[in-house]
Amino acid sequence: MQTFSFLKNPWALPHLIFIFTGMIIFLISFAEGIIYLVSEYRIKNKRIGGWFDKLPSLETIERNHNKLLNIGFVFFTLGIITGGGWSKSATGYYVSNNFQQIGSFVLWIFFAIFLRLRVSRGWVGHRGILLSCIGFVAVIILLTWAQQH
Amino acid sequence: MTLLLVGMNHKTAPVAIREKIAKEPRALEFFLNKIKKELSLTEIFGLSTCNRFEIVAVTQDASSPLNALKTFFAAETLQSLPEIEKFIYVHENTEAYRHLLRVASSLDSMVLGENQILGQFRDAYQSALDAETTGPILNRLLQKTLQFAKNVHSETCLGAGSVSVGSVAVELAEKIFDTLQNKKILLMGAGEIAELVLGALKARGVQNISITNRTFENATGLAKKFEANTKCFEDWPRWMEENDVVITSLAISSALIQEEHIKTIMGQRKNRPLFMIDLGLPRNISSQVYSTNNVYVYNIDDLKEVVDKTLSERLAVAEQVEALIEKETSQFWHSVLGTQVTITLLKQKCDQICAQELEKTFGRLKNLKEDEKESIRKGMDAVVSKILHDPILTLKNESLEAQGSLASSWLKKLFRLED
Repeated sequence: MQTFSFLKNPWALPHLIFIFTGMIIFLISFAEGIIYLVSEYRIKNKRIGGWFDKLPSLETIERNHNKLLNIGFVFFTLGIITGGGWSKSATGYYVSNNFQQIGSFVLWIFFAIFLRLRVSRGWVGHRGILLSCIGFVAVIILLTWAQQH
Repeated sequence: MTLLLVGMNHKTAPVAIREKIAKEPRALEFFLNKIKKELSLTEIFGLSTCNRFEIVAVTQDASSPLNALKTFFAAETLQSLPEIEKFIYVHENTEAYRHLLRVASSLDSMVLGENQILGQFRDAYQSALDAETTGPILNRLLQKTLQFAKNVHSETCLGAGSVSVGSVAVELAEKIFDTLQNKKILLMGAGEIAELVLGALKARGVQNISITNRTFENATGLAKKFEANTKCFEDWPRWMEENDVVITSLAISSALIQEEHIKTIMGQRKNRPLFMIDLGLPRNISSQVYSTNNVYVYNIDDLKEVVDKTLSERLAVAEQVEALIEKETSQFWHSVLGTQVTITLLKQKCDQICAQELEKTFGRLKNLKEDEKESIRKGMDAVVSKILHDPILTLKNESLEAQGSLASSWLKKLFRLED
């Protein structure tokens, strides 16, 4: 059980659960975003018929996508907080000088700003969903990169 | 037994003729009962829709009721017999069954693949059942027809997609918005197609419709028809900001709605999606607008292209359905014809036995007079007919079932009948 010794820290398990759940929700939201972009491309380019006709309307897909994004963000936030707690109890600092923690914090700020401005700046529809999908891909790249360093 | 179908439809008769013979369900019931009694038909069924009027009858002999039926058609449409023959079609047996399958599957409809006919067919059958004009043969045949058509409608893509400009517009709007009931619609201009599109959207529950036109009186007239508001034409960018679906049908020399207008409008709308249908010729919306984010513009050619694509897809499916109909009718023919042959052979064998035995009896009883011999012959015929009546009736009823051919082949074995 040497491998899971880090779980002895009380912050570790909640942190992992929140981050993992958040990522799963972001992943579903990302998939919905891709479906939206493809559907939207087809409608815009007058391609009607086939399997895509069975999909819900753009408005419905976008609403579901946004709901998931907000729920995922809540879990991500809880993950950041518990991550900070874990870092504090392990190193004495809320944020250590490593890319994973700084990157995650930067991404959290990015999502917070994006979710706030999405409505007020009219980042809805195609542009809003494209930005959120790019954000998700950035999270994946960052986490993969941080794991390797 | 002969299955006889006489009818007229939108392809063979103009509306001026069809409207004279078209009947409400009650009147149709009365009409069918009248024909059934007057022509001594075994069974009868009628289908009356705005596009067709058809009578299906089961008779012992096709030729005499056919002329009488034609006379009924002529009398109802106030035409002479030679005149009415130009407008009607006649199908017998397999062809009649094939026609029924094509009608119920909507291959013979004005709009290929529409599913209204299935409901009309079902209602007509229910009326015939209520009026007790059908019997075992037609009941089985019509139930099989309805089941076949139901399978075609549910298991093939014959009814998929939209086949009118109005329904395409609704379909597209529903791909963008989850409901149209809370959406606002603006019509700029007027025109027949614009009215069709507006009508189709209103039928989907759109409540909030505004109409603007350069000639305010035209807008007022149309607004009354669609229970819509009228707007001042000069402020059109403001109305576009407020509405989610915009239909333009303006008679102008160049595009009115340019990219810069749409950018401002979309900014005001906070980029909420805007669905625009350009029915104007020349186009009312500049082609640069088409690429704007969250703006979906379709012009009349785009809508017609969708209609044509759907129709060509339906035609491809219709070919598959025709092949299914061919298979179904040949099975029917095999089954009914096989039964008919068995019945004929059975009757022939019984008649032959009767004739032989009577010959022997008359040989022994030489003092019999001719009228006495005739009475004995009639008595024998009556006994044979009564004995054969139930088996023949059962065989006829079973002829459309899967076990019909089995019963027929067993009867052949039992009585050693040979084709």
